[in-house]
Amino acid sequence: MTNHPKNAEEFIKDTDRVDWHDAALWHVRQKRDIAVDTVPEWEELRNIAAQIKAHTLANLRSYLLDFEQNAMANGVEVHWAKDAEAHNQIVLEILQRNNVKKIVKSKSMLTEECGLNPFLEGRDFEITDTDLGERIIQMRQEPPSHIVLPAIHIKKEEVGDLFRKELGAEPGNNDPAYLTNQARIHLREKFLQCDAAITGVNFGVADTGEVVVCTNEGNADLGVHLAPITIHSMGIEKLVPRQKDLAVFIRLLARSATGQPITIYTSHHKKTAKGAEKHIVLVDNGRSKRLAMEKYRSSLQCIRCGACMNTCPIYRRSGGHSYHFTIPGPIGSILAPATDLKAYSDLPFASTLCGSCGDVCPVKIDIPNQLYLWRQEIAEAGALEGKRKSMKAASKLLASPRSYRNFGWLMRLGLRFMPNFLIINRYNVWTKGRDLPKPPKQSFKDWYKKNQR
Amino acid sequence: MSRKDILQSLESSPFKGPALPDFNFGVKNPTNLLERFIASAKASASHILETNDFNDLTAKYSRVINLSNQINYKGLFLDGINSPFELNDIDLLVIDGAFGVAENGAIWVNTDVLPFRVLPFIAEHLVICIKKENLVANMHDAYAKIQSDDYGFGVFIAGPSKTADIEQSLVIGAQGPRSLGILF
Ligand code: SF4
Repeated sequence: MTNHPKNAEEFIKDTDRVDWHDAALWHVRQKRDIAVDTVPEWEELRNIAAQIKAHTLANLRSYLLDFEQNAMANGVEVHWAKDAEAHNQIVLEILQRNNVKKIVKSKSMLTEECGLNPFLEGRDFEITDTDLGERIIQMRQEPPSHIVLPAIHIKKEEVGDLFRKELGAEPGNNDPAYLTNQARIHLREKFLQCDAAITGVNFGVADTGEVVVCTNEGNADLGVHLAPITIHSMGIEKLVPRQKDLAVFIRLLARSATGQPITIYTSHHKKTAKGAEKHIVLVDNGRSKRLAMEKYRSSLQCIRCGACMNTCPIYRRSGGHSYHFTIPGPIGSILAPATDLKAYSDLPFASTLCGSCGDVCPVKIDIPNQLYLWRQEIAEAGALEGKRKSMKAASKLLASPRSYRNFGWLMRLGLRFMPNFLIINRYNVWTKGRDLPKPPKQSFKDWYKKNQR
Repeated sequence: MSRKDILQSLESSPFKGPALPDFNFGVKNPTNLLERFIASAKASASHILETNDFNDLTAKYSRVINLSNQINYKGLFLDGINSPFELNDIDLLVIDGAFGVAENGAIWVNTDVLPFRVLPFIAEHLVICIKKENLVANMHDAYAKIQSDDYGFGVFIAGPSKTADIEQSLVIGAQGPRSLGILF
């Protein structure tokens, strides 16, 4: 069975790549800090954002009904999908009804979660991911390794080789500007042939029925405004009650994600254009179930900014694919176990509990605390299977130098790379109420010898 | 039926949340709006154009479409175009923006005034005209303004299209316009 330590072991074999990956993401984290410092009311915004989200989740049923009604009044068709399969079926029906062959899709972690691409490809549709990073990983037949920077694990030389093979780019030219332009030419062709566009949704607004999509490249808008058919796939947790709430979230999102004050395009899709058709698919797929889990409910507040990944010492040094779940990093590690406790029992342990993720999260999800709660739950689930078995497992762990080494690896990471203020805070149960161990001045053996008498 | 299932599932385990918070981060008497807007726009790789720069641009490109009411320039007309798919070869598009936001250099564009929504995304280069008096301090002030704007599609545009998807190197001109000029 695949697990995080095993996958990470694979990733860290290439030490140069690890260093580079680590530095690239830390750079994004630093850009975030600079952007955040320009907003004096940042902490207030975080508090309000968390409250708005918590309020919306507690009243989700009525806000969803408002949203549906207002979206319909805007000329939009609203669909409800209780799970991934229902979502894919709804999309399929819309496409078939309109004789669609070619689809352009902009970034959407939800369609990733639903496995929409393989579903449609298996039915002879051509579906093209149009975000540059997403197109790169689609060509490589890989999942994204980060929710905002999907191709962050790939070097430009590899993109160059890929584009030579796939797009006939010139040999030896690995300049990102050149490669981006090659992709632009290739994708423009796809846009000009598309029959339908699919997008993800950053925010749905209950009182106006509009959906907001944030991008930097302009790919989502090219698709939506060219194609006669548009489908917005939206998780039911994406709602905010009022249009003015958007101000809070738009101010938080891009600053947290990349350190930009706002994405280049913040698109408000409200009414259907003349001669076009617009659909919104509201997807549950486990969300209402999670809402009933009091301890883990707030994980649904996530606005998918990726800040918790950029700051995580484990994520930065193990890569997104190590997490073997659609959403990697700290937030993925608390989302995954609710979907399958057994398959993802390793993920809550892929953390030093340093607390950095909770500190940067713009909607104040208590990620470290939830990681800790999942650990307890996982331990208990193990214990339920019988004390003997769990004791056997524990002794096996302690007896195996390899497992022990992995544990040491995590600890060393934590100690080496984080200043005290990051390690010692209210979240970190390891260091609660005490300082970190100082390196011993003398060894126990020496001490014993001296004090024996 | 999924709709009934979802609504039922949401109903089945009710819980109490906090009240919907109110907030007021709008800026009452903003100062230096123009200066701050220009600084934010430049940081996002937008160009602030003088009349001379604009004349240079229109001289440089042959397929120029002017849909702005604020500027007196006759470009090509969009007559006879029935489908957005026919709009691929525009070198330069000039449009009006409703207002700018000082904290981030974004400009609100309500595409209902345009013949096609795709125009500001498909043109190779974009110029947006805004009036100096139409600037607000931050996004709260921006949404206060938008509240009364009855748009079908509206967008904040905060610079030329860009990406950093290859090794985090910033590339200007990803899939939409390769440059954004702002003309007051
Ligand atoms: S959990 Fe918080 S920091 Fe992580 S992606 Fe979601 S909103 Fe961003």
